[in-house]
Amino acid sequence: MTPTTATSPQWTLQDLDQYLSQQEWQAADQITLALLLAGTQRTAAGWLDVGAIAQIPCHLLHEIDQRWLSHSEGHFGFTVQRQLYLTAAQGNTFEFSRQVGWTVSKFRLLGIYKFYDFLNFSLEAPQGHLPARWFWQLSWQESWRIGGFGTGRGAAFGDANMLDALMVRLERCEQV
Amino acid sequence: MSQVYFASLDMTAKVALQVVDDGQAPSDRDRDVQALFDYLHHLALVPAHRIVFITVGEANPQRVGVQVTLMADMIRTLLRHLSDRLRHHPLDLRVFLLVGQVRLQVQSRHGEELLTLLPAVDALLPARQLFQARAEAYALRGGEHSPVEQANLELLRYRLDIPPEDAEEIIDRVLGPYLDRQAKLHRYREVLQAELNRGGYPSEATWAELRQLYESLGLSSEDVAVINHDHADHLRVETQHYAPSIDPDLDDGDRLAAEADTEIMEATQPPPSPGSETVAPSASPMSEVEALANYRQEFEAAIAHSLYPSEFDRGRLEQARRFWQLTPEQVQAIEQAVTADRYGPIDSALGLDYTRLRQLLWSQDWRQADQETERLLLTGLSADMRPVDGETFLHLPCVDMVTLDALWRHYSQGRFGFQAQYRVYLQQERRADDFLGTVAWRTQLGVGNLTLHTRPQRYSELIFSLDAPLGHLPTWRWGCDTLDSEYFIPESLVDDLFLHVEKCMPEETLAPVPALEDSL
Repeated sequence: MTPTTATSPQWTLQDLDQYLSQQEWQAADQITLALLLAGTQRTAAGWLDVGAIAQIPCHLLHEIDQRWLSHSEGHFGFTVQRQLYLTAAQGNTFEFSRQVGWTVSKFRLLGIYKFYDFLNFSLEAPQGHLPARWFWQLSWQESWRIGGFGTGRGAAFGDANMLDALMVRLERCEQV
Repeated sequence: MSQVYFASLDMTAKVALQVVDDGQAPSDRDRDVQALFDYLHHLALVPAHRIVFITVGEANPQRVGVQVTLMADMIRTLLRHLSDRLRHHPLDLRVFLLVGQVRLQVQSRHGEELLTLLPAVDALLPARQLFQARAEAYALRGGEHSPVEQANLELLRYRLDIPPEDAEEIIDRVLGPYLDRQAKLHRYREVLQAELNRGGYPSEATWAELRQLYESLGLSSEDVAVINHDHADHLRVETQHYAPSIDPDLDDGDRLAAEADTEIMEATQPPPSPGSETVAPSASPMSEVEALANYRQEFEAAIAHSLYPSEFDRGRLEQARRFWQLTPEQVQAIEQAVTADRYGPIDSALGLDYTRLRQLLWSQDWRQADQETERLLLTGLSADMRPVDGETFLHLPCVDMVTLDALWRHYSQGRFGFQAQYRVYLQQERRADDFLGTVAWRTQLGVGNLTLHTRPQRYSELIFSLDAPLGHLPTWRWGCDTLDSEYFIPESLVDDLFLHVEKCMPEETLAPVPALEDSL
């Protein structure tokens, strides 16, 4: 069974565990978004925004992260993304997106985001490439606003508040 | 000194290794002896000076072997090593073992025979004495047993088949009533202090007694030199702030105390001539109030230049506390009050620990201090570290607001903190947007006085130094969802927060903010 909609409310951490252990990275990515939406009561909306990200329960973030980390042997996960964000990208969201292979080109002018289906759902992907769905799923208004033709983040230019918000959230959760 | 201990227990053993003369050339034999000697040196089982050559012949001395003096429990180890060596480098070796009054002898070429000695050695040696000798040898090195020494003792205990209770008893006896080095140093300090209290500078005889004390405690002369120096210094400091208190207006009790202190001052000089009257300080006990005041003064001096007293001052203060007979609780209260006076308060009604923030501000680490401020507020006010809005901020107890403000104000000469921010707010006639512009949390783009566009600063663009505009810090990042992309403070939060400031710190009670007043 492959999850067809990210917003199905019934996904659990055990499901995430199962898909990750089978290296079903794309399905796991969708379940991750579903779990985050459920954790912030945004299942109906179907996408996250900065306000919601700031409210993600720390334990949920931690549980999800641990599963990605262990099944990918440290290749994927929020912690990996935060490390890259702090060190390699020095807090620059575009630089980060380029490093983890989310942009079409490494040149800033062509630095539009890939369409979600063109992401690399394998361990050959750059470090920190996943999870990504939480970042791609946008309201159609927001998608239009940033140049994504209403289809999410694909083809959009960097307006990476959500990325920043998650990094802030991770930092705060580390201090609990 | 260790020699004395060894002898008293008779736990030393001598192992003589004689290279058997089988008619080889004297030079060959000498080479073998030298090789054996080098090997034992290299093994480093015993200090080098315990390994000596055995020579024969008066007129033309020849080296025929090597003698090792060691603690009896090491015999086993030595024989094992030797046996190994002989297996690889066969050599006709005669081994004499001298333990106490007993003498054992064996000859071997390939080493097997050496091990046959072991059961005999074990039978010969009283297990408990062996154990005690080893424990004492360790204790002499530093007055306590280090972890690796403890581990070795445990192995030895196992090998000698001594019950744990017995081993513990032996160790207790060896280490004496003072189990670790600290306790021993402390004990020495106490005794020295008592001597000083009793009659000023100790006499030669007393010094000799003190010397015997530290030696029995297993302390080195270096350890003790530090303590002695420490005390001399302590007495000098007392002198400094007591001397001016000799004042004709003092009442008799005070004068007596002052005179007593003068004696201490003299005590730091060379020993007084015999027959000179000394007044013991204990003859006129200081009142508790006085003692507290004195301790306060001491502590103030100790933290004059740093947030915490140095290790050195710590020792000194502890002596002063005992000398003035104050309880640990009393001095702790003083220390907290004095530190708060000098370095800002850390009171909290939320049970928050502001010491780290104080430390960061003291070291002018504004960025870290800002982050710590967020951590404290989120820990205290919000569930699960979620950002705090204006309504939640109203739940911040005034005690905590005052503490936060006082700390930031103290270390920025009034430039930072809630009061500084409030002054800016008042100066901008309570307009939230102008406040945000004035503290430079928003960039205003415009022509002349006309503002065309404002945008929030990025957190990374904020200024973490004393050059920042008034009220720039601490930031209210605890209210933000994002930081690097934008540090956005809603205007409603500005109004809510200052409402709370007005409640906790009414305008008429505000401390003057020199930096602000100058700039206005």
